[in-house]
Amino acid sequence: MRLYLRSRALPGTLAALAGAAAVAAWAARWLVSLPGFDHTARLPVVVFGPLFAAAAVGASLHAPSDELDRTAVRAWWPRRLAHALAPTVLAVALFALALPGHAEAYGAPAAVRNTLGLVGLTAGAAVVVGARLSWLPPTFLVGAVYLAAPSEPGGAAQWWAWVMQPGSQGGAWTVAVAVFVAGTCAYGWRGARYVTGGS
Amino acid sequence: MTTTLVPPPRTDGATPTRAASPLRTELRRGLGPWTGAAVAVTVLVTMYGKAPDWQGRWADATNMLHVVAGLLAGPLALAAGGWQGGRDRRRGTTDLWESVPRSPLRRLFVAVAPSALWPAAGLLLADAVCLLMTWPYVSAGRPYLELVAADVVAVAALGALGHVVGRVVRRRLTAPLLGIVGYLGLAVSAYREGPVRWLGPAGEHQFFWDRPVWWFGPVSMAWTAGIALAVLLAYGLRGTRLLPVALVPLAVAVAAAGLILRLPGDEGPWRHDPALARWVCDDGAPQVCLTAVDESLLPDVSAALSPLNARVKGLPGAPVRWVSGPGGPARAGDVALPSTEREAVRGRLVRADLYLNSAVNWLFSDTCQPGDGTGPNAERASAIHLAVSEWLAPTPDDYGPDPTAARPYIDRLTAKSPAEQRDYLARYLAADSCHPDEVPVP
Repeated sequence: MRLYLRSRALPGTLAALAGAAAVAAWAARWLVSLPGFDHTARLPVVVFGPLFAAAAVGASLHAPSDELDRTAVRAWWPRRLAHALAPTVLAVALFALALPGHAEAYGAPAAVRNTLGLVGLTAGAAVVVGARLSWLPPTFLVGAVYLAAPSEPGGAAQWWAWVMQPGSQGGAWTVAVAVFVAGTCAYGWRGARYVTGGS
Repeated sequence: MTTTLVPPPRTDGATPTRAASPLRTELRRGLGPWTGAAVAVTVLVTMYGKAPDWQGRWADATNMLHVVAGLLAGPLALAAGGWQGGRDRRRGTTDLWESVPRSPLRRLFVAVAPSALWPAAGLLLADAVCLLMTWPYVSAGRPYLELVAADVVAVAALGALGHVVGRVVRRRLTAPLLGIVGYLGLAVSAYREGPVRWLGPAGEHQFFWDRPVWWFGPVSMAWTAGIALAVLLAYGLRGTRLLPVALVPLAVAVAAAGLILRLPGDEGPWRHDPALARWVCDDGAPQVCLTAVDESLLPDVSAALSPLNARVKGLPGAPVRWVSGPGGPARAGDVALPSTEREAVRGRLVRADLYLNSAVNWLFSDTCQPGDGTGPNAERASAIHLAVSEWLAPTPDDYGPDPTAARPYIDRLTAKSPAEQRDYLARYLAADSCHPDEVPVP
């Protein structure tokens, strides 16, 4: 078990998640304290904190000895699911604590939703492009919608720009949860694509 | 019997083929083309979402492209470069590269090429598409191509820097961390006060009667390319006697940064351009004058103001000329028009009703002294102001104040004959709106 955890760099991942939450808590306080800014200034934290957490979880899905793993007699899917879910639960808890107050705007619910959705997207990307490059599709999504999303919440944007929505938007939650379920199930079923050395 | 030896026919397989150049292979394979496509799609999707804000003036288009390139294409290039830089370590082909009979610097430049050139190519494509989409709707000025070129060079430089960081820092999270930290760093630099913000590739300037000083584009290129080249040379020539060569581009970058830092902090490289702020007027009465950058809007603005012009034409105190732009009213009888920025999309005035309402409110706005606008009739005067505005240009639904309190006055104004309406408007325009007692009751 310890060998498994070390081979997946899970200690480093957990440290990265804790560090990301600490930096997010500090950045959120700092942004709100700036003159002329209020609690809505926490939007970058609610987007980029979970993005980094998802990248860390995605990078840990890399299996250095995939062919050897596949010879094991035990089914891998419970381990894969546990591997994807455990750091996600930790990240969700840390971000929920790091962003107190204003749940209707960019607070804990929005951070939790983005963590779930982006981890799901990363896990799904790991199945398709490999774990080590799994950070790229969510980064691309966030980059594309960050400036393109309309400033008014709701409407059609809550479906395609769900990472940019306040915590109370039902459509954004639906997309995020669906992506999380689909991504983690796909990872649990197939595992990360084994790419020799990466592109 | 004799036999003749016939040489076998030459087949294509026997023809010696020339090996593809390593540079070409590097550019065609791997993450490079995907990075270029990702940059182009990211920029185009973002620009498409904000098209009404920029597709009408060169300054708006260039500014929006500049911000999007700096904030989105830059971090993406950094992250992709970081990933590409760690490729040989992941593949375990570092020793193979070392065995190639080429200098380390040449090998480095070949390896860096996709990280730098593909994001730049993606951005260039997106820039070209956006500028072509702007072209049909603009009235005056030119696209600031030197700034667009500076953005492309900056993104290439960020890709190269990301590549070197990816080579040096051997961590799984190097690439995504580069992207996120790059975004935050570029965003913070864009919102800094003072001349430092003009060093960052995302410094914003929204003022469409300005043009940049001629040298800003080339000097910005020297700054970003100089930094990237210095880092590349320092990395490629490490451990050799030629390492001080890296100081040459570094000196160029420092000199360029020095020039940029001497710019004024607030306006930076931007200078007022009288040719863009020149008035273009219609032949109506009152005359409507817009700046040259909004010339294509003139027929729409004239049409939007025509109901108001018909009512106030010839009245004492009425505008002789409506003027728009940075200069403001220049002579007696000039009245400032509100900016067309919010209501104009692609060279057309899409919310003529809103614009007319704004123009009426601007016409009746007055600079009052402290203590003015008080007294027993203040509330009545306020309702009359609202009634006159609503009568001349009804506020569109969901905008502006609730006109319920002014409804009796609006009804009285509407019930008057045209001659009585004109007489009342003349008295209203002649009154000092800062003194409630002087405001005539309809």
